[in-house]
Amino acid sequence: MASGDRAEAAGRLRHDLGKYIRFSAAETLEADTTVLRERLRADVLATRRTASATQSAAEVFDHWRREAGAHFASGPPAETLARLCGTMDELRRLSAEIDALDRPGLERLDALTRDVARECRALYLEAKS
Amino acid sequence: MKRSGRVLVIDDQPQLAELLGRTAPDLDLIEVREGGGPRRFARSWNEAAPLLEGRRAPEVVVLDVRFDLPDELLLPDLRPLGETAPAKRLRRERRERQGLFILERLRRRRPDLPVLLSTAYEDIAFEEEALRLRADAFTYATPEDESTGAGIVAALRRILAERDVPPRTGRFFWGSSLPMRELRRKVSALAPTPMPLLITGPTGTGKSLLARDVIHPLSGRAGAFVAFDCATVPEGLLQSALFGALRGAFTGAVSDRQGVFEAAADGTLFLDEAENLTPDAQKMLLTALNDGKIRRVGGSAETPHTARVVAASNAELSRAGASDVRFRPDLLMRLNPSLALEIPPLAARRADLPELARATAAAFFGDARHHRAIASLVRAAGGPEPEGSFDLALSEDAASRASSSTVVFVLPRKAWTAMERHPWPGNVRQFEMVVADALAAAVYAGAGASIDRSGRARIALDARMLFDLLAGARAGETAGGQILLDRPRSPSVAEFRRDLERAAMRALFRETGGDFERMAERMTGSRREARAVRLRFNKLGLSARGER
Repeated sequence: MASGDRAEAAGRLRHDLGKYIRFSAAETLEADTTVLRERLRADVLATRRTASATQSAAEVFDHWRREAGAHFASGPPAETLARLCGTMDELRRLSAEIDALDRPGLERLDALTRDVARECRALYLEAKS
Repeated sequence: MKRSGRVLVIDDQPQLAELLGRTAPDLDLIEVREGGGPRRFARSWNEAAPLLEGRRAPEVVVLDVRFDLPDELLLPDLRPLGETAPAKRLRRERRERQGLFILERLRRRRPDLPVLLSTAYEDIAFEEEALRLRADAFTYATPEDESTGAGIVAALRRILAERDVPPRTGRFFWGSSLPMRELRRKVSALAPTPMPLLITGPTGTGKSLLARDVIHPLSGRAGAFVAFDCATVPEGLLQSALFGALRGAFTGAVSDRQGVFEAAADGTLFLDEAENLTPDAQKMLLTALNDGKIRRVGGSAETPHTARVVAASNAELSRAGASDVRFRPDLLMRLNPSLALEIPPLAARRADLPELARATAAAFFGDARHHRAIASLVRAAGGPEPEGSFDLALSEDAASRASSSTVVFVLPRKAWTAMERHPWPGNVRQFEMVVADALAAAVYAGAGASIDRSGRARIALDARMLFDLLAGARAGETAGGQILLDRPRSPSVAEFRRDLERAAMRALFRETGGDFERMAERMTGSRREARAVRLRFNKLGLSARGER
């Protein structure tokens, strides 16, 4: 696969997932658990919205992986993608039970969104280099 | 209550608009009704363009940089690109730079509209291009920046707050055009620092007012503001005037004397027309800036100084090989030329003309003598005693829509159009003189006031007089020409000659908007004689400040 295509694909993931998964985050973690839950619900469960559909972070990632994941089978981006897959697995599990999560669970989910944003950025920079 | 602003969000995703709606509910986000709307953000240039003008036009735009859109929505040419390698490259570039393509189109439509660029891509090098296109602010929404939303809202509020700042600080006129907004931000950032500063700009733009009324107060320095005009002091006395002199240092130095550096201790020393500093004075100034020490003429001891230096010039100090400007490059570097506060010519900020006209009129009306004369005109027309503020309307239409002012001065639309097109070589100073002259003519030699049906007094400005003033200002630009003078009546031939010369000097001063270089050019054919012209001007008992 041409490196240009890989960069294009990584750019798309960073835009659709990495940018928006923490877009509503405040400078400091919300003290009010209800507010924190609402923010995570918006960022993680309605990460990408178009006129016709709303996709969660997991759906955005899965869709992207089906389309472009094969292009990241080797080299440094492969390791980063593997790490991102692991992060996304845990995020998927926690976000499925977001209404039942206690404060530590929500804080863990918040930390995962930060990891996803960083890993998307790392993948993009590696694919571009 | 502070008014909120109309904001147009241009982004391919809704999150930014939603964030603003949630965290800054007072903002009025403009709705888009096309393409499956209503939505509170525009996804593309096509959706944003129709919203830029009209009654509900935005006061600020928040613009994303990277857009993930189908080809047919991506500028520059809105057409499918195909799947070849070059087409893919082009698509990526268009997506990554879409915000800049949109900003470029937006600037053609609305050159002065404030724009905040927001991006999550710190690796896309857009800043240089964005500066060229005069974006007002950038925010970076990166994973390292945990204040994405808060940062955007804060930047947006900062831009909106600039709408509400007064058009003047002291006597310095800002206006709200884009170059002046940029200058204001730069001044706010640099004035409180101890760094020496350089102010550049053509004559009449207000360099000394900027230093005195804005930079010195913002500096927070307890000492005095001391202005020193490098062009009016004879070369031989320049160093002693700057740095002081010891008794006996030269003929006439009968006692120790402090220079302006010492007079400006803990304050601001403003060196106007710095290009006129002699090479020796430049060398001593460089030492003063580098080492923080000065030495009086005739002395050997160096003493520390605490003055902050602000230099101003209307010449291009860095112009290589310029025969009429001999400025040391090392001194120029010390004055931070890359941070120079450049005041643009009035012709480059025409958006400010209406505000400047009204501000000039307000200053005129604020003069008690003029106020009394206007009141007497209104009474003579059978009107009531005028109360409150007066107004200047820039056309008949505007006069009928004018505010609740009891007295409205009306400028004919055609005259205003001519003023808008005028080159204004003498810049703000010349514009203010023309407006003040036209108002004075209407008050003291005009046709008087009339009272309209609502009981408001209207005083018309004479269009012919305004065109005369503009023609005079334009004629000042052409070489040669005649000077029409009132013939003085003087007690002796010597006095007559002196009065005639004074009148000629004043006429030239007004024609050139107070630019001594152009006066010199008009008189001798060369701008190099500007210093001699200025000295003669002062010797005749005239003062630039008094004539302005």
